[in-house]
Amino acid sequence: MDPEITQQNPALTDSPTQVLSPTQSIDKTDAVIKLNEVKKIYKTQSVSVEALRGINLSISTSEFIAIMGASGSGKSTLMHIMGCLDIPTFGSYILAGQDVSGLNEIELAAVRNRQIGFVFQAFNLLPGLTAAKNVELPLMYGGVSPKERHQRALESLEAVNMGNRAFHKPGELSGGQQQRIAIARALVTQPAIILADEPTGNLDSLSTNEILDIFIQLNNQGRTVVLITHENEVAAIAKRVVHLKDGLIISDELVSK
Amino acid sequence: MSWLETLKSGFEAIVTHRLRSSLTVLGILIGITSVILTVGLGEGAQSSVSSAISSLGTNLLIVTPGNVTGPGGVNAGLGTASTLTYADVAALENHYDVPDVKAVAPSVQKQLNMTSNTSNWSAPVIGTTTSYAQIRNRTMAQGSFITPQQVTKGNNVVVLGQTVATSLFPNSSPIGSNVTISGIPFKVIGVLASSGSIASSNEDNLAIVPITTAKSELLPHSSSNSVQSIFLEASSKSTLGTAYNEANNLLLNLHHITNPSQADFTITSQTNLLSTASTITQTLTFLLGGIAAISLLVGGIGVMNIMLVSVTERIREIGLRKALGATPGLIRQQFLFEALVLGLIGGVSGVVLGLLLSLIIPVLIPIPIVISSVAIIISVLVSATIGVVFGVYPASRAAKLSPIEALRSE
Ligand SMILES: Nc1ncnc2c1ncn2[C@@H]1O[C@H](COP(=O)(O)OP(=O)(O)OP(=O)(O)O)[C@@H](O)[C@H]1O
Ligand SMILES: [Mg+2]
Repeated sequence: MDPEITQQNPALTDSPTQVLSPTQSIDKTDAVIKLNEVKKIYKTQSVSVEALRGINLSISTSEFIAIMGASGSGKSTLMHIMGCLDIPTFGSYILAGQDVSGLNEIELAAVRNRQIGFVFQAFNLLPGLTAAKNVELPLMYGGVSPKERHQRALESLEAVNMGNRAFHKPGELSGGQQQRIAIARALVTQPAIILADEPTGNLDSLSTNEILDIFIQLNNQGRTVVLITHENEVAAIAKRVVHLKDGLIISDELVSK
Repeated sequence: MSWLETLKSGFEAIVTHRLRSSLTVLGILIGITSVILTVGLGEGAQSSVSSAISSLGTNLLIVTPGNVTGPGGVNAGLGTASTLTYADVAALENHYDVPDVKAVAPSVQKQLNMTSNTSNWSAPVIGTTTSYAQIRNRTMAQGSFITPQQVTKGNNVVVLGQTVATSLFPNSSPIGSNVTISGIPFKVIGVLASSGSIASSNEDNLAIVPITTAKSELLPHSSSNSVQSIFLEASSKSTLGTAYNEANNLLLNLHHITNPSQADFTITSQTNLLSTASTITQTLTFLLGGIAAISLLVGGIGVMNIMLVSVTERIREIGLRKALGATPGLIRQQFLFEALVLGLIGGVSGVVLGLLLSLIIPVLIPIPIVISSVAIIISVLVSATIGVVFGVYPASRAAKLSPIEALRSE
């Protein structure tokens, strides 16, 4: 049942023949994320699925980028690779100047902890813990002292307007409020990038707007945000929209506002 | 993340799933309680048996006719000509030949009917001498024991055991009253104090008369020179062995036996009895402890089962923790600590329950339970170990989960 995930560390990384195609216009030197011919092949017993078929993508600091595409186009797979939850089968991935395509599990855990803030569709808060304790989790794995942890968690909750709910458990909060706590948790480590996979997928339109406002606000403060969605209204708040189809980028455009 | 924090979060997870955790804990609890109790019962039995054997008399050696040790030897019937005689008794009383034997008491014994004015009773009647009381550790509740003069003269006097005294004289003091044994009147001169041991309650169901009287009046058909058994007291615990050898050599000489394996008598010591008894109780303890250990094993499998369920159920939590930066090692640690805490709670509550029951059970059944601190410490360690051992597999399953698989699952 577990997919046999082919792990190969390609020596392509430093190859001078790997040149970005001219269409990949955005290729700044201060790129936080740089994907080079990234392929992801899922191998099951019988078939192998090529979820990503050669992605070249560069994301700079302070960008607000939406990734769109039909179901099964590879959005989540791409996010997993960008979030260091998985490694590319081929190609290289440079995150905040560090090549992470060949890191082992322990190193990847550290990178996730320091560089990435995740926001999931299903919120993924631990039901037994208070909002504050949930937000503290990444700091705990980062080895921050309990006192500082608590302080920073409260600040982070304050930033998403949930300071007054710090000691509530997720079950006592609405979906929108829960997602705000999840965003506070993503923010608390001051990561290089915030990755959100369909963050509004489980929310009504009112809560959706609240959450999107928070993302806009975060980006205005200079944070890099990658937002995965298949809703045009959601993608509309981003400054750059990338379209995926069958594991390939079919369009990558800046949105003028 | 410190160990203390991991321990705390393990504890929190257990509290979150209260019902499930308590059922798991119950398995360990029952296991530990039964181990504690069975080992306690074993040790209690051992100590009560050895105290019962000690109460037979300190530094006691018993010479019986024949070559087989056993109750039949002591109670050798009247038809059997005993190989032990007064000559043997006299020789054993000679301090030059057997310096480590302090006291000697020959005895004959027969189950006989006794009647008082009001009731009748049947009990072993022992004919012996004055030293019997000292050798067999008997003290008087009332009156006095038979005196050397009474033995010499063959007076019709009797000393009753507690059970006999209360059966024959339920309402009055027996001292000075008459008891008829096999139709012959005897005057009660004393009542023995109860031997106080459960395991040797028959020590209270007896009557003692001078050996001379017993042989002439109660056992008229027995050979006038023979005795059924001879009780010896060694001068101290440390000389028990030499006393045994001295008595053995003396009797072999007297009986003109050159090959000790053909001896026509047997000398039994308490040490023999004690070691036999402790072998039996130890075997019993091992057996019961083994059964209890199996229940602990079942408890351990319960922990494993629950931890596996817990891993499956919390697969999203595991995925999330990994996404937030938890290393496989930390995840493994978290689940191991949870199993450890489950084991410890089970162990500690098992010990507490075991201690409570060890106070209650002896009230209900007359068996002492001895619970040592070693047993308690070992139980707690064992339960913690069980938690960890049976937690290892579920914990490494959790640690090995791929974060995306874990996050994807519904
Ligand atoms: N673990 C896996 N094993 C096998 N195939 C997989 C696995 N994960 C994803 N895939 C396949 O890879 C492709 C891309 O999946 P992915 O989840 O990235 O799509 P998506 O764009 O996020 O879709 P959706 O909008 O429905 O979330 C799909 O065809 C999917 O079946
Ligand atoms: Mg998806």
